[in-house]
Formats: sequence, C-alpha cells, structure tokens
Amino acid sequence: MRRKLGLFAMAPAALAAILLTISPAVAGAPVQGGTLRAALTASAPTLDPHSGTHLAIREIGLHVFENLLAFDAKFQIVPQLAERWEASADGKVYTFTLRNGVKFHNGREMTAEDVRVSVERFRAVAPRRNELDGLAKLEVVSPSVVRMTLNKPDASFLAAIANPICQLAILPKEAVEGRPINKADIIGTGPYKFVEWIPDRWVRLARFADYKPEGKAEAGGFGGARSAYADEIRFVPVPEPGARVAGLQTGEYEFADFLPSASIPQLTGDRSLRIVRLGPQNYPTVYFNHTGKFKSLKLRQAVQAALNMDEIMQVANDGDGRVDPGLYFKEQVWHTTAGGKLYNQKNPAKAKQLLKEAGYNGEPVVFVTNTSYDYMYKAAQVIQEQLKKVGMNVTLGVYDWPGSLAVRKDMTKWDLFTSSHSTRFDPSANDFYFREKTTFFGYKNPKMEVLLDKASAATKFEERYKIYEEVQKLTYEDVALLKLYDHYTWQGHSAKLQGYTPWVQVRLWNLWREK
Amino acid sequence: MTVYVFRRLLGIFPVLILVALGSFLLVHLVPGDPAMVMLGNDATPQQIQALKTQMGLDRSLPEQFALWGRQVLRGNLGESFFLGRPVTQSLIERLPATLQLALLSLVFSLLIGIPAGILAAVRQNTKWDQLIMITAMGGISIPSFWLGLFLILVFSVQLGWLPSGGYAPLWDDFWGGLRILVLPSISLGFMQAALIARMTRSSMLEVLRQDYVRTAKAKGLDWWRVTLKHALKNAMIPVITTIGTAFGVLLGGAVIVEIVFTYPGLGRLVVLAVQRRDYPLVQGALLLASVIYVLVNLAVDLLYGVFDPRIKYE
Repeated sequence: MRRKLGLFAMAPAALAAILLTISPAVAGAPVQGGTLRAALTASAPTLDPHSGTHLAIREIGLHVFENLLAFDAKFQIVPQLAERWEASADGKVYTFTLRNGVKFHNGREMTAEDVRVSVERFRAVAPRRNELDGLAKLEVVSPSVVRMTLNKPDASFLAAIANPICQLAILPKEAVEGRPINKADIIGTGPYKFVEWIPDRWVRLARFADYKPEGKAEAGGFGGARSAYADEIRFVPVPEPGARVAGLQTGEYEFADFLPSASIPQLTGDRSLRIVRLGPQNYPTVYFNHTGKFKSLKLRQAVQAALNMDEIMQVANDGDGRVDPGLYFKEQVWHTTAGGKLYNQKNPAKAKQLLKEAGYNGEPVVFVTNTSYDYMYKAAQVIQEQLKKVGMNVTLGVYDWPGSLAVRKDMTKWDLFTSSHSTRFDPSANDFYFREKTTFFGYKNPKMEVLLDKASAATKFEERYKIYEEVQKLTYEDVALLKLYDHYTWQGHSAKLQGYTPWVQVRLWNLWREK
Repeated sequence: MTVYVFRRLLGIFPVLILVALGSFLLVHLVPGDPAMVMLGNDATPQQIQALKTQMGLDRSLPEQFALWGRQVLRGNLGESFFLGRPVTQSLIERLPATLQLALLSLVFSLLIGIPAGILAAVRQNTKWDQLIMITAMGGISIPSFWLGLFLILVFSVQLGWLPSGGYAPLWDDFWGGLRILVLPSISLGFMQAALIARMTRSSMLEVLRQDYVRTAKAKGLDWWRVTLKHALKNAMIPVITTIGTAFGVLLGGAVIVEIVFTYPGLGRLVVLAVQRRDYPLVQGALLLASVIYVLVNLAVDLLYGVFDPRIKYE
C-alpha cells in the first residue's frame, strides 16, 4: 500500500489560488476574513484530543489537530501529516514519511519525535488506546520517518491511526510528554489555532497563518486540502434547541447544529438561511443484557420480531431517518444488508409465539434509558409499548446519560439499554461490542470471536468486507443487539456562508462568508 | 451591632460544614461516574478504572471527603475534573455574569413589583387591584423558560430589537452588555416582581388599616406622604424578606433562564457540572451558593433596623 501526494494533486489548489489572486471579485471565489460563530449543542468536556470520544471534542479538535492519516469523503484513508506510508509484505511493519515543513501552532516544525511522543501518550491515556494494543515497536528512523511494528498483521491499524473519534492527534512533544489525560496543551498543526476557552461561553480559534493546505480539496471528509478562510471561529455551546434556532434567525450565529425537526418548515422559508440535512448522523441501538434473562435466544428473538422500526423512527425523530439494517451506513463502502430479513419484522404473532417457547411468564424487564438524548428516550417509550402489546412486562428506568451509564455497569440492574452508534469509519471500531473481553453487555459467542480474528488478520478490502458481512449476519441471527434506524439531523447556516457540505459532523474549514 | 455581625458571620461555619457534607453525599450517591462520562460510551471497564484511580475516585467515600475537607479548610476547593482548572477560579469567573444578571433582574422586579403592590393596596377591590393581582398570578405561574422563549420570539426574531442570547461584561461594553441583559432580566425578574407585588400589597393593606395611618389622614397629611412615608416604611419588613430571598435565588444561579439565553452564569455551570458528575465543581458551587445565601440573609436582617428603628442588634 503506497500513496503519494504528487505535484499533479496540488495543481487544482494552485490553480484556484492563482484565479483567486487575479479575480477576487469572481462570484463564488473564496473570501478571507471575518468571524464565524457556530452554535454547537454541547460544551466540550475537554479540548485534549486524546481524552475522550465526546462529539464536541472532535467537532472543535478537528479544526486544530491533525493525524498522520485521515478519512476522505468516501471513507477512504488518505495522508494528512504523513506524506506517504508503506506497509511491509507481511503486513506487520508500517513506515510513515512525514510532510516537510509542517509547523505546530507554537511555531516549531513537526518531527518524527513529536509523532513518537504523541502516539506513546495516546497509548497511555486515550479511551481508544486498545486499538493500538498490537503495536509492538515504535521507532524514530529519521527526523521525518517513523516506523511502527505490529505483533501480527492488523487490517484495522491504519483506520485506528486515522480515526477522528478520540483523535490520535500529533501534538508537539513539549505539550504532551508525561501529561495525564485532560492535561495536554492545546497546540496542533491544523488550519486553526486555539486562542481561548471560556467553558460554557465559547472556544475561540484563529486562522493559523503558517498552515499550508495539502492534497486535493475535493478529497473532502477530514482529508485533503483544508483552507482556513475565516479569521476567527467561535464555537458557542447552545444546549437549548430553541435558542439555536432563534440565534440562527437573528444572525447571532452563522452556523447552528442539530436544529429541531419541528423548526425546519419555518426555517426553510427564511431566505437569509440555508438549511441542510446531515443524514445519517448516527443510529440508535438497543442492547440486551446477555447475562440476565436475555441469555435466552428465544427471548431476544421475540423482541426482534416485535419491533416496528418505522413507528420508532416516526416518534423518536419525527420520521427524519431511514429504516435500514446495515450496521454501516449506505453511504459507506462497508454497507451490507446481510441478515436484514430479521430486521424490522413487525410480527407480533411471531413474537408472542417465541415468548411462549422461551417460557416467558411476565417477569419484569427493566429497560434503562436516558432523557439527555431525547430521541433515545422517545424510542424507548415506543419500544416499551410495542413489547407490552406482545405481552412483555417492560418498565422504563429513566436517568440522565451519566446515570444510565452508571446503572449499566451493574449487570443485575438492567435488561435492555439504549445508546447510539456514531458514524464508524472502519468496521473494526465495533469489534469491542462482540468480544467477550471488552463487551459491556455480556455478549459471548465463540463463532463471533473466530470471525473477528479472521477479519483482523485479513488485509484485502474484499476479504474483510466478506467477513464483516458474516459478522452482521451473525449479529442478527444471534440477536446480539438491535439497530433501530439511521438517525438524520438538521444543520443551518447563513445564506452568505459558502462552501459548506454536510458530512458526518460540523466542519468549518473550506468555508467563507460572501461579502 | 459589630458583635452581632461578627456572631452571625461565625454562624456561617456550622452551616458550611453541613452544606459541605450534604452536597458531598448528594453528588456521590447519585448514580453516575465522571470517568465514564469523560471516556465516553465505548470505554472498557479497565480504562474507566484507571481513570478513576487517577481522579482519586477509587478511595472510600469517607477518605474522599476527608481529603476534600482538608483542602477546603486551606481555602482550596479542588480542581474541576473536566475544566482542568481550580474550582475557585471557575466560580470566580462566572460570578460577575451572575451578579450583573441578578442585580438587573432585581432592579426590574423592584421597579415593577413595589409600585404595583402599592397601587393594588390603595386601590383595593378596584379594577386596578384585579388587573395587578391577575398579572401577578400570571407572573408566578408562567415558567421563566416559556417567558424567555416568548420574549426571544417577539423581540429578537420578529422585531429584531434585542439579541436572543450571549454575554458581554458591562465594564467592557456597557450598552452592548445591557442590551443582552434586558430579555433575560425580564424573564427572570417577572416572577420576583409578581412575588414582591403580592407581598407589598398584603403588607400595605395591613398597615393602611392601622390607627396611626387613620390619624395621619385625619390630621390632613397629604395622600402621598401618608402612603409612601408612613405606611410604606412600616410595610417594608416582610417585603424586604421577600426581596432578600429573591436576590438569594437570583444569585444562586438562574439555571433555566441561563440555558435559554445561552448566558454563561453560575447556574449553567452547576447544571453542566451535575450532568458530567464533576464532583469538586458541584460541591464548590453549592458551598458558594450557601455563603451567598447566608450573607444576603444577614444583609436583610441588618436592613430591618433601617426600616424599623425599634429593632436592636445585640
């Protein structure tokens, strides 16, 4: 595997730059300057990129930090801080050559030593560190070359390096060495540099003058050339949906995330705004506690047969979504409908029969959900009703999100649990659900472990695809968990903002305000 | 009086010890785990345990309380798990925002509440009285978040007169900051204005029926003098208690209004801290709120003497 960023790849960007210089007045030409105020739903719990998987961390972090590799709009891995990489024939040794002249926001040039220290720190503190468990040796070959040696071939290794969720961001050595979780200095190599964080008020980022966009802008996603046009971005946490809508309408924010469905008809009528659909954003999921009464396959099958996903989607998200069995979205190369016959059966008669065969006698089923994510709570209410109709005695345990996570830890306190899957960039990101060692819901199936081992050892896409197809099929047959529906969300921005493409999450680079 | 104030200030300590113990137990007994919140949904039990050890949450509750208590006695409220900075600093940063919102809301509620209460009392059982009392009933019943959203819809979205949220310190940008504060102050102050109006009315009615008021009127004193000087001053004691409580509530953080108006005050900080189970921050904020309450109560008690010189402090 080898990729290079050649001169040809840079040609369109250079051409665009020349055109911009000659005729800045051309309609649609990017304009530099201004402050962009973006209303996000949540306050980032921390800005340390290695610290957590919270959405707000990466929404801000991806503007400041970069990884060695990144995912493009097609979910393919492209170089970011690495100029190229090479894998040995046995798939165990990866050699990364770094881009020359990349500067950190503190003015120092990035070297292989910074990469080593950042990766070491990630392995020490990051929640996602187990994805690098197979990394046996990490060597600095030269100031611009890093070599990583694995215990055994691991097809998901590059995806772990590129994953934007809890980024394996490269920070300067002095900002991370020996720092515990949540304590890194916020210094990256991205198009925007960190200026100020007043928790709950804003995070201010400023354009990084020394940033050089690399690669093709049309690569999209998190990769390719990323240009900073706004002088400043202010990420403002606005948890109240009504306040995000009002702020967008009054022009206090040029961009707002997660707009409530009910406000969309009103907002689309406003000519000063552009409303875009970000779909799909995640999928809500129901987990079974496999160590309790749902040890019984028949009982799990009964729940699977009873659910009507169309109805759940209608109530949980006003119908904004898609009923699809894929554990990966249709937009992703990993999508498959394997096992899909068992999804969205809407068959109460079959469910009742299965309950009878399982010997279920109205024992109480505790369904733990949360009100922090409105759609999960609504989905749980519909599911409760649907299960009641087939004769299950379901009681809801309603908590806030941290409360529900704490209850989930005690396997004697719950039978069903709601959560959601954000976009997974590589199927291996779901492996931990199905492995006995790492799962939180007590799932255990040797057949599944064999499949996952095979997937991990496979190196070709086609081979891995087939194995993950099997994994999905087995997930449905074994009713390991239940995917509900693809959840869509809405975003809005001022009509003056140009260049915005909705994809996975908020991305405000390559975006400018028309004068 | 100095001895009295000193004694009252000393009395803060037992209150603080109780609040410290209560808040500590409350936040630790609510299900939830800051390590789980920080690491996210996908963290493995081993990772969570490692972070808990780092945060010191693997120790027993009495041990944790003793450690925290020792810190507090040295004037250190600890460090916020999530903000990564001292709790005292985080609270001090929020205090000015909350203070300016609380003061403006109080001014608004006094300007509306006291004249409305007086008018309702002197025009008892007239249309004025009914109108004021119905409005006051509305003020008490309408939830502040609803009023806030309604005001945003009318004055920000439709008319475009005032911003729908944000924050600017008044000492940096007085007029800009004031414009931002108008709508949240009204939503917050409306309920307090209603409470103050009702209390002023009932207290005034009682005083207006007293013999000395009748005597003053019989002596031919003009209406304004009788009502505003003789009656109102004597009717103020219960009103001041209401104002004191209102100010305490406003300073403690107006949670809902701060969320609706995206206002970075103490209330929002506390909510966020609770949502994330940021124990040191919740405990620190509760301690601060109780100190504020005790001080406001002390100020109210001292004000009694201004309005009623018979009250002596020993």
